[in-house]
Amino acid sequence: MPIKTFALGRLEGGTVHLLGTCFLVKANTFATAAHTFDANDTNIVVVIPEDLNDFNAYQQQTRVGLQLVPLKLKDVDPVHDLAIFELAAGATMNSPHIPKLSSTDTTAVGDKVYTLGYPHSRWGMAIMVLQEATVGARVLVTKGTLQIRHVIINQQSVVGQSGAPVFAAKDGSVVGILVGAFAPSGGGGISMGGIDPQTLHQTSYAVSAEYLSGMLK
Amino acid sequence: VIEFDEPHEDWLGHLAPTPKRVLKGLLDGGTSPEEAIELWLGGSHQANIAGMGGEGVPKKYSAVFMNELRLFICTDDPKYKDFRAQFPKINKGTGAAAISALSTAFASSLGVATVIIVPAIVLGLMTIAKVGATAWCERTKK
Repeated sequence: MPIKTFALGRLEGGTVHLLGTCFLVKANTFATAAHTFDANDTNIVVVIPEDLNDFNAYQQQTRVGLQLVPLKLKDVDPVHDLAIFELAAGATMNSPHIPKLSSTDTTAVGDKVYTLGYPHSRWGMAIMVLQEATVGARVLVTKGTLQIRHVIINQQSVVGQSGAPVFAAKDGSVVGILVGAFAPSGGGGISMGGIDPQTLHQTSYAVSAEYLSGMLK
Repeated sequence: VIEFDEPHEDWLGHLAPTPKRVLKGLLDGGTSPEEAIELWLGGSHQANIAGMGGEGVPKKYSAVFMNELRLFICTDDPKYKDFRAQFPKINKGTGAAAISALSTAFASSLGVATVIIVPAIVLGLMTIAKVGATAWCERTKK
């Protein structure tokens, strides 16, 4: 059975602005992509799904009274685009289902994977959506002198999906974390209806989960 | 100008395990501290990857960070008057306290999480210690 993920948000003036996706890596710890909160860790919250342990439950298209739990930034690695948040001291999730972390090293081109994220969350949609994809390539992304392992998955991603775990269909392990889509110079040049047209394709990037494992040691 | 009378390579020892490991990997590979600051404060937005999260166009923190550091090190701007009085010299003995105090000030001023700003400050101080404060201030003068 797949494992539910969570929407990440920022609470401002009584309104929650959804930022992306996060998922449990320990009973009190969530992982996400670092860029989702743009270096500002104030008032970050996790949105608890309505039926945490029922994967197939109908989700409300319009949710009223979101169940929010504050999070504290525990660790961050902006270079690999990863961050870890914790619940308040002593708090844990009830009956947590925690995925096994592996690595893009365990994937091959053509492998089936799936993501569980919160697409369109910038526009308030707090619905977890599963998308199937294929590993299109294993790539080394250069940052400075580092060569960082990623996979390209054949999925069109939209805002809200960053931070989503990428599961291997063959064993359910998390091979990567979705961090974005190809765009020259990182995009941001043009926005049409809140969407960068340069990202309208099926070249999405996931950073290897091994870097997340390194942060949890 | 703040004095750096003991340039040394131990600054990374002030960092938590994750930034220490990542930045050591960058610096050991030949990435300059300046480039590392750019990556640390904007790494998510580089490498031709557009993030699929957040509230809008990501901010460019590295430029404002460097301006803030210059304000502290090179000028007599009143904003950092108390810090300059507290840390007229930054060396092995005062490094940890200076990093801690500056982190609090910069995090508040820039609206950036402390755990993100601390490594940037360490890299900034490494950059300055390498060439000397006077030379760095001259080089970065607008």
